[in-house]
Amino acid sequence: MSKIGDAVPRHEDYRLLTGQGSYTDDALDGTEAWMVLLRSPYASATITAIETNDAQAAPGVLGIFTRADLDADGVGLFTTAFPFKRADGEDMHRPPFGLLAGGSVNYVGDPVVAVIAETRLQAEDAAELVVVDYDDRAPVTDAVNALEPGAPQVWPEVPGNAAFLVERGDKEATDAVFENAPHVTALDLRITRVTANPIEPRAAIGSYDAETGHFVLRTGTQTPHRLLATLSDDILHITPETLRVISPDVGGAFGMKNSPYPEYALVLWASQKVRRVVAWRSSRIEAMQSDFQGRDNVIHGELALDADGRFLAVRAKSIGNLGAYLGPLTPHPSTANVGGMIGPYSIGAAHVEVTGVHTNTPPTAPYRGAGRPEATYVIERLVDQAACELDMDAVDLRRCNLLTPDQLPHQTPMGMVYDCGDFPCVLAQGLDESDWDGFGARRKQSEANGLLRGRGMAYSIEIAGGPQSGHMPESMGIQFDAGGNVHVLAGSMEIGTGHATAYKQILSDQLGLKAERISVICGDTRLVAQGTGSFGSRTMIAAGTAVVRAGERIIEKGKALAADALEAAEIDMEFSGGAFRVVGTDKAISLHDLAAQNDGALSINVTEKAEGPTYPNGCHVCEVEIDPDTGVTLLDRYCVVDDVGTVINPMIVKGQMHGGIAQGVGQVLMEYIKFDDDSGQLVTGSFLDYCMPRANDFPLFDVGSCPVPTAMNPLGAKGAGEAGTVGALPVVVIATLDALRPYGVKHIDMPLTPERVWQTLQINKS
Amino acid sequence: MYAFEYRKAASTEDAESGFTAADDASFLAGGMTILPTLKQRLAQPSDLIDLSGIESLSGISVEGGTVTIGAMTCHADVAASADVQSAIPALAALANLIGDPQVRNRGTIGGSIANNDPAADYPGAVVGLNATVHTTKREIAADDFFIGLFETALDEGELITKVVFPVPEKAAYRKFPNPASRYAIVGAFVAKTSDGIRVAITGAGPTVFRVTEMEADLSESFSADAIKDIAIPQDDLNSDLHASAEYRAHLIGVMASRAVGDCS
Repeated sequence: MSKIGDAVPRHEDYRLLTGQGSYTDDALDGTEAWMVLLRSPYASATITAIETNDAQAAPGVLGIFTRADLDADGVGLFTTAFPFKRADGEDMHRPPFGLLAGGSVNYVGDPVVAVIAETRLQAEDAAELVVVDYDDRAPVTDAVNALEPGAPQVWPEVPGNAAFLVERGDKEATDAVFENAPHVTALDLRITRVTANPIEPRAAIGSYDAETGHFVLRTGTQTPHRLLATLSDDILHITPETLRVISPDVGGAFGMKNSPYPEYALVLWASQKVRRVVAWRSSRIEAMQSDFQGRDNVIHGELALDADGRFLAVRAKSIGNLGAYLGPLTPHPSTANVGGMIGPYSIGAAHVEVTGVHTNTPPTAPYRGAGRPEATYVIERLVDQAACELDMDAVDLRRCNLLTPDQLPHQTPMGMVYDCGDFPCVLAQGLDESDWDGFGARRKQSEANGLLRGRGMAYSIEIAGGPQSGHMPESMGIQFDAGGNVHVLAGSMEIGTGHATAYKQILSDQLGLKAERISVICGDTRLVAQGTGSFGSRTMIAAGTAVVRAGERIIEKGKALAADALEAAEIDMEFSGGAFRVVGTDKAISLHDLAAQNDGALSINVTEKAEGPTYPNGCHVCEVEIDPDTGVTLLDRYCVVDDVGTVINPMIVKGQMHGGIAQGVGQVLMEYIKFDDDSGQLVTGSFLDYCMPRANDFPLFDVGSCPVPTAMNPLGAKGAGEAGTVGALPVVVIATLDALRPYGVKHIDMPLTPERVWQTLQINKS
Repeated sequence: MYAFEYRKAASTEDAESGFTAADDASFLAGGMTILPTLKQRLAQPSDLIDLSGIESLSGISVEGGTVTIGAMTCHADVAASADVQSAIPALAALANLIGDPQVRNRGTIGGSIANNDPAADYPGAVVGLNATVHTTKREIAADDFFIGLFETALDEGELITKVVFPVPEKAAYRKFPNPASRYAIVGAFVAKTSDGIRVAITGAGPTVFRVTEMEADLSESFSADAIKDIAIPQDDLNSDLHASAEYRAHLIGVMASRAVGDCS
């Protein structure tokens, strides 16, 4: 019987690792029609004409559609619910975001024409025969450039390209502290744009049944129910009951598959038009151009300190690159998690101002961390820099500003409530496990080999199971069949993260159910009536809570049924070890048997909320080695000690940490999306130029745990999906700076590519 | 990908006559460049003539102070060959640095040098070792083979059959890979041969080239120190997202010095 806390191997793995996974494309049977999208070659242009006659006549073509066809059918637009204002107080403009480009194209890859044909090859051939006339304009892709006077305007309705201004914290109080602060450390930081690059690119299969008027969409998504609502309510204007969304196995999501996309709606709409099942699969090049991308912020951050190094206040002005269009979640990452800039510290005042900026680039959207790594990057870089300026030890500086357990719960000046944690203990364990003090000897050894060595630490804390402004519930159904087997119908989504294994452990532990008799079903809106989905490190918090609450209700219901079965009074029933017992006797009935005897009576559906969000936190330590002749920076050691609350399955948590760290380190050392400033073309348009990290770019990670369970949910879990990335972003840059500072380097921005590191050393040599 | 005729040639004569008969044929060796190009619809040959069935084009032999590698021999075979490892270890090591395991098991030496990608590794060895390229028509000296960006001395339809490498006294290859693609940003092949010292640089310019100043100085004194002050002009060097011409010029010195160090 597996328990909470056991490192149970993932039940999913045998199937997934032996090629038996079922991804979106695995449902193809060869009879589908294919959709190919003709995309804009320009970053900014007016469409003056679209000529499709030759393409219509091409072999195998079933339909060719433009925005005019969609508009004629009343197909809707994507919209964002974020109620943000411009700097002048007016409501922000919501640029029309259709399934295909309207009168203008606004980034390279903006879809313009949908071609449906019998085969993919025929659709590609026909797409080449479509002639689109463009009147191209100068684009702007960089958010800082977009704010310059005279910059190209992405939307006439958004003068100066500033879509919104969001403020958090108390400006007056914060500025007052800064005015009198003995020391102020300031940094200008750039956080690059990156893209998720899942192994399974986006794909969708849409079908329409003319007899019933029902649609089915098969696509890998983190949020099947939310996707259904957007597509039925906002886009297709159909009743939700007539759309079924099936999300099978998902080959990598990372926040990128949290958003709805035009292609998903197009395959449904086109299926009704051509009366065929319509399939679409993104090519790698399309994925680079059209997947919603992550991060892309320019931040001026300041930290005020007193003469003893006590943190007094933090403030920041952040510019978030939104891209051309506002997807439903586009305004989220640059604004929602700026509260993370307080870190685990006692800081009296804070103020953050975020300007969202339109550019001729694809929309940005949540990407592992969604603002959390960015916020932690700002505070941890500032703390590291302050230590340097004040000639203090960076660890000591952190230690003397850390909130202590007796100060918790603590409401930060950004409104977050850190409910529990033991930051000093996590820090001490992190230093110990990383052999922090052994660095000197390792640095000497590196120097003897002609290499520079740097060491860094960062303390990360982030919100999980949020957002701060209103955490969301999750739905869970638990059904017993006639054989006493248990079926968990989860409103959360399995995206490769092993939730099913964790749910089985929880139910095994709580109800004494046998893991092999539990099945977990998710990702089908027909089978699972309600759900929220998996994002924001929330699943163990939100869905875990729902599982536990459902289990409690089953015990409650079961006591009455067991009393009947055992001919005893309900008040004399107790539940333990998977069975109901009459207190003080040996009369008992197992839950499996009770369920089998009472067909359906124990089944239950719940929609439950945790008490509130949680604050996983951790101490990240790493060391890098730099070849000064080439600038090559190698991550040599990485250690993290994390408090993710109750650990349901340590092996899964470690896996999440490994993946999260790799994703953060990838961004710092090699990954980035680069547009050509003049043309707006994507320079890093394939894996020839977009550098994905490989296994041999990493050392073995040392992952330790120092759990402080939270009272915010019945499991005590804090969330682990994003924690690795949150700490990795700052710590690797801090370690690199540590190696470079003896050579006069004061600042460096990611990505720490070999040439950038080498150039930085050259500048400081001369 | 556009539609094309696929033909599998049984002999070099068969391949050449197929090539001549077709409208606009391309040879298919390992396919490591042409297949991605076709997939992206960047090429539209009428025929693809597959050379993989021509047995005489594959194989490795060492005799009389030379290593002979058949044009269709894949990189993994060169890397794993005990004969190559013992005769010219730098050549086996170079082959093992190309791409990834999949590429090394598909890509061929003939395909690589016929394509003459500026960032390919093999041109460094061919020029650095003063190899001779044998074709269906003639023998071409390494220094005459690589003409320019993706351009060689090969005539239309002319097929490489084998490459013959003289065994050097010492040789070494140092590569600075593109972090994303693992192609060479700079590859320096240094060899001490019976004809003198040769330094061939791949990846840095439009095509492989020799650094005669380094060769001269190394002939005087074969040590890394001898070439450390040689400045490489940036004018003709490649510049891209990953490496400016300035950085490449610097890396040529670093990689060449390290290769010299490996030789001693």
